[in-house]
Amino acid sequence: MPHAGSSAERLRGLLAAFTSAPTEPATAGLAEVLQPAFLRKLDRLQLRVRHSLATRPGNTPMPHGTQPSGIELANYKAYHPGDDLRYLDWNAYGRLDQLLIKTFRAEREAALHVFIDCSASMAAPAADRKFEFAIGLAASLAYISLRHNDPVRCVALSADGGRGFRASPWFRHRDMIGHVRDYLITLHTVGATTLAEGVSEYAGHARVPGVAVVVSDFLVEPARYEAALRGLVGRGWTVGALRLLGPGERDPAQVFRRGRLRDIETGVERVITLTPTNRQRYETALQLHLEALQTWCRRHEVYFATVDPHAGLEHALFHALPAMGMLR
Amino acid sequence: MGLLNPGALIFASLYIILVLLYLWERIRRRVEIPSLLLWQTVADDVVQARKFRPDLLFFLQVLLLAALIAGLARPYLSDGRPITTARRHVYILDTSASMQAREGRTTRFEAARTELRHRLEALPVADEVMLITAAARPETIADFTRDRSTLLRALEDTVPTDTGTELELALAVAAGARQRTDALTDVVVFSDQSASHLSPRWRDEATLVPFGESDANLAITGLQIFQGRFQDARAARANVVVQNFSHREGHGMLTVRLNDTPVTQTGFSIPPRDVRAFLVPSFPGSGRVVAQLDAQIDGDDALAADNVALGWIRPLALTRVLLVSLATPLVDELTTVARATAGLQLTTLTPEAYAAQAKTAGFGNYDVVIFHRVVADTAPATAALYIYPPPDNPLFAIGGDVHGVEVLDWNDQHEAVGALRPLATMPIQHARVILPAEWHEPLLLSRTLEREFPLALAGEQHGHRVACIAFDLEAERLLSSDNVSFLLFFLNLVNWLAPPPVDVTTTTTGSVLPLAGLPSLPTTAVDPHGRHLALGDGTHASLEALTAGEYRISTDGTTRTVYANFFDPVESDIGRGDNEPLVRTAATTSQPEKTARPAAGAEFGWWLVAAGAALLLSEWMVAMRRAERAA
Repeated sequence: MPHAGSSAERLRGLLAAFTSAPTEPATAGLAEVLQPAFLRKLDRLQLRVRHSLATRPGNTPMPHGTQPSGIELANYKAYHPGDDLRYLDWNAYGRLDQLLIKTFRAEREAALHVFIDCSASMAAPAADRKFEFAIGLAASLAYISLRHNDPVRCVALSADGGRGFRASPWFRHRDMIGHVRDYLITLHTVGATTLAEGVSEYAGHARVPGVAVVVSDFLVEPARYEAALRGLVGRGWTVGALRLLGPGERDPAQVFRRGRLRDIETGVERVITLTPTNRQRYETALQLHLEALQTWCRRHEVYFATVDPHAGLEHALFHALPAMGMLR
Repeated sequence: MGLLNPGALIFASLYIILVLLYLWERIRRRVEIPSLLLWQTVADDVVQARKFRPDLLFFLQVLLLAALIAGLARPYLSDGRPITTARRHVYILDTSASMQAREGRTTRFEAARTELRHRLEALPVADEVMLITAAARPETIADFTRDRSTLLRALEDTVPTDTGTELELALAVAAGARQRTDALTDVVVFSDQSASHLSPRWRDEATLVPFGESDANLAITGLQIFQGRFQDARAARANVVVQNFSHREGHGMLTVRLNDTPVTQTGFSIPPRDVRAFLVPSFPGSGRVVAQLDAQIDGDDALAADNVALGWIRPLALTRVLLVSLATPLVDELTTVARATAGLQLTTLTPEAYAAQAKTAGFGNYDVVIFHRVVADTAPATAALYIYPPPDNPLFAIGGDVHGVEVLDWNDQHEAVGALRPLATMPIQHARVILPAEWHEPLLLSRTLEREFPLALAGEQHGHRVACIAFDLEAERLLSSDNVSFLLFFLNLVNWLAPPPVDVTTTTTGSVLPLAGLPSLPTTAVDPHGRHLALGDGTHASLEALTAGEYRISTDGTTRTVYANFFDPVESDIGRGDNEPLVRTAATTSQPEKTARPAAGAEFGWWLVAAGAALLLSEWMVAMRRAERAA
């Protein structure tokens, strides 16, 4: 029987926190993440970060500041007055009769920023369940990051936020996954996308670059998503762009044959019959859109993947994201 | 303008469907999509407005639908006059003998024909008329036609006949003609018959226009001349039956002439609806008998066709009979019969003498050769009668002898037997059992426990009539008063074997008389009015006498005379029943009223259908053009 406070017990408590949550549309995507078997699978994953590592809070290198704390012993140096006596190696002093100060390798962290597109377009077509999937994906990435003691912050790109985004507090420990859940279930789709404004604004306020994963349908003009991603890349962020593409968007014939199409964000309507010609034109436009996004990401060393919500979280986390190089 | 098929207008409801289709084009399901970004290259539909705003295609479709519906309704142009329903009329004109009855200054037939003529002239031009005459049999004298001149000409050529009326046959013909057409058809009968003579079915389906009120008619309804086969003309008698069909007493004078020489002249009075027979006991010779009735009923006798009857008294025809027999009592009995019969000349030969003469003579100068108890090896070239043939003879197969049998049955269809009913149950002491053969048929029949066999038979062999009596007339005592039926049967048999020459045949009008015995050559006849009739080939010729009087039939020199008498008490009863309405209300036809068909060329439905096809093509072209423009 595991003793109290063990990791297994904490995991169960964590799961209890998830399972006790009310089932809401936004949290429907979390249901798969809540499964213990799935979480155990997530334990095998790890974010691959090429750069954008930051020092842990309190270890910020400062001139004449204290040496960085840490666990891994780096070296010894002779004691000088003013050194922190906590790092004095008393055993060495006893054996060698010399005052030696232990120095440690500074611990770096990869702060994860999960940008969730909360525009209304993420809820259409409803059958694609893009937003639910985005929530589930964000929770999964958060768990993976927290599992490795990296801080996580969820940023909702929504007009609700006033500045184009609404950021969660930092989550720094795996035990805080419940707080992650609590934050995620408050999200909902509304209004026009604030991809460019929200990301740029958020990146401008961030003190140190981190790992940014943008989960969106990127249904904006290329200039806008380029501006958003460029704002991150230019500041030294490690950026991943996950393009959610559901079957209804991939093949609109599954949604309608003839109808009055209404842009869910702008309210503009168009009467369109999905003739073979129109269908071909749409597919061409979609293909060009994806290719443009992918080309731009590849050119700017942005991880990019097209994810199908209907393929499931497991497929995205264990195939799509490792394939793009963001997970391992 | 009118419509031949107004029911097609129900297809106008398709307009609702058309409008609904257009509305449905606009009331589309709203589909929310994440962005119209990817749909920028896709063209909007032509139909964009929710509000019903018809376009060119819609108007083309409306016109197309209108053209098709109008084409189905089969419109036609009229000349502005009120549309009248073209009808068909079947007029039946009674041409029976009673229609010759005089009514005032005219006859019923003339009155009916005048009425019919007036009706023909008053009919609308579009109406078609069929004319049928009804006498002993119906005859269509004009099929359905609008040609009034043809109808009037056929009507003028019609003459009444001296026959009875089969009005229901004519009505059946009219009903058949009516069933063959879709047009409204009425049947009108111009007749002197009362409606009560028609079956209820015809009363409902036809209109009867009756003619005639008089019932004053005295008629000869029968002329019977009694003259036996072997009887002299002077012994002939005649019986004339005169009937008064009036409801008043009739008076008249009956004159009977023989070869235009009055034989008797008798005045008479007959009570109303009564009949009287006049006997003419003797005639001075042979020849043509004319019974002429000079009738007087109040003022006049309305019908003259039944006032004359013709008959014929045959001159004495000698029948030469050769009896081949041994000297037996039968020879004496037949000699006695021959002496007592005026037309019978008997010669007797023994079998040996016959055999000797047969080598050189064919005995064709005899009418009948009677073989008693013998069958000659050489058959005579004339008719032969065999009496009690021996068992071993070359002509008849003898199956044995029987004793004490009776006549149990007879062939009453054979003229040699006729009505000799007393032959039955007469006992016969001895008889030969003659086995059946193809060439003869039994006349008298008896049977034993084992089989049935003929007691007398007759047939034809080598072109001559042959008869056989299987029992011995000598043993049965031919002249015995108890067996006088045998004598009658014997004489009947001789009469059949040697029939008298046929000079004159009598028949009744309206019946068909087969003319047998004429050469197979074209046969003609001259009717009482002197008109020549073609009767076809003589072998199968027959005469249908429509007029009473004398018909002279000739075929390549062969001449035969037929007397046709109008003996029809029903037809001679020219009065109508009491309380019979003079004119019945025209019965309406059971056929539904139908719209008149316009004249050919007045319909233009097909033009509209063609216009619909053109509109369809136009609509298709417009739609294609729009599609190209949208692409």
